[in-house]
Amino acid sequence: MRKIFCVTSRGKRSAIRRRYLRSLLWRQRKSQVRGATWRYSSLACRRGKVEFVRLPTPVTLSLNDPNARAELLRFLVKLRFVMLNGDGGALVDFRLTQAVHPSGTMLLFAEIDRIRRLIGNTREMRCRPAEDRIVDQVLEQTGVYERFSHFAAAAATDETVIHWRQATGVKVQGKDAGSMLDDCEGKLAPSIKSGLYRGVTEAMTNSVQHAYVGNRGDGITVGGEKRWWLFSEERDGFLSIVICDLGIGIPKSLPKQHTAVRRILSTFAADRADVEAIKLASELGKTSTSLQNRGKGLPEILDAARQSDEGSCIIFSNRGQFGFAAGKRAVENQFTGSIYGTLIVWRVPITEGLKDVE
Amino acid sequence: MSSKVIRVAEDFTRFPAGRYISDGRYSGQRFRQDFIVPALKSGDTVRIELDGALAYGSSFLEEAFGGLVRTEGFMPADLENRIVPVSADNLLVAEIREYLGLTVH
Repeated sequence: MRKIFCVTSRGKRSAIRRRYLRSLLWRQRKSQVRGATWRYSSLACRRGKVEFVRLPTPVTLSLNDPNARAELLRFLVKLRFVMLNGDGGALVDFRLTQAVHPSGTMLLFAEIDRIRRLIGNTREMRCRPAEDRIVDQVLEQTGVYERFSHFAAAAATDETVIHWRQATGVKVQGKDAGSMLDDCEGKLAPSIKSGLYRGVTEAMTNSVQHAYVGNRGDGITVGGEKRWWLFSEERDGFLSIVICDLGIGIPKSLPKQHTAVRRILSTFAADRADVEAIKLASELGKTSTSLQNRGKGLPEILDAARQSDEGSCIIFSNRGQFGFAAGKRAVENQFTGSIYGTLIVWRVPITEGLKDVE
Repeated sequence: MSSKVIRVAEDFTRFPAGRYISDGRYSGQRFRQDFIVPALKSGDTVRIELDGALAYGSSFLEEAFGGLVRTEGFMPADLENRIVPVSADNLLVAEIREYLGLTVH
């Protein structure tokens, strides 16, 4: 791309741009990974005998802002392609990243962890640490750096960072969620604490039972683990808890055994289908088990943060985003790119002390 | 008339979660099979003390209690007198009664 901007004549610039786009198209056709649309060779560098592709991470790791989200998803497409298709390794460059939000950091962590588990030690995935001090400490504290070869960072010391916790598993492990909540003992209203525990464990149950019932939309069919990833972050008087799976997403799992749901969803335009699917799942009294009294999981997940006016719960699944922000303000969005999975973010105040919320 | 007492937090776990045994170690199915059913078979009434555990998700509760009727073949009318869920949280007790197929007071 640098070439394009060095040329002053507008006509020549257009010609070079057309050639560049044609080369991208050619590479995309060659690619097995859906959505890989960048120039591989321009990012390559060499370390010893291994050719590394340098992949700069986005400036902001977030799923809420459409631009930041699109940038993160593009980065993940490249990372999957390089690590699972190419011959060399990846050099993930965190130097430009300036801000980390729980949603974006969670997705990045889950994807990197998944890739690391898929490739084992057969391929090299290295990183350059972030220049921002807080971002650097968050990446260390949350175990992101740990997933890279040949890298050891200093332990986090900043007060805003040391309260990040992470866990991952393939079973419904209530103790992981419980330990995170026990860390906030005395700072969370009991009803919020129990609501969050129910919400997180139901999300784990959904992940184990429903999320991995088909191939993930990223085109990578290897693996087969029913894994979830969990984060908690305590900052500015709020506790954020994020859980994520990299499965087929609610919009694909919900209609699998419900012809009625499939019919309802087919009536929505494509640019609303994912958000309507999440909305529908949160209102249904039954899930794909088709049995009475089943399927309270998603409503329970949303209810976890409803007990506080300042609480929020947002569900991201594939291209959809659904839930409520502080003040019970409804959130419904559909983005253009899919996260290929489901990610839930709860945010509740931790300043209400021991008093319960009526 | 004999009575059995199950204290969930002490006898089972503080962190109950999941529906099936395949979901995890402290699932509703395991609680039903290893604790409730043997207690029902050996005693007339089973008092289940729920407080002390962090919380109970609907999957866990439905499988543990709803499974008694659906899978184990107990009749709701029989369970009404024999299962006594005890908690300071009335909503939790009402939810369990609903899964047992009983009228919620």
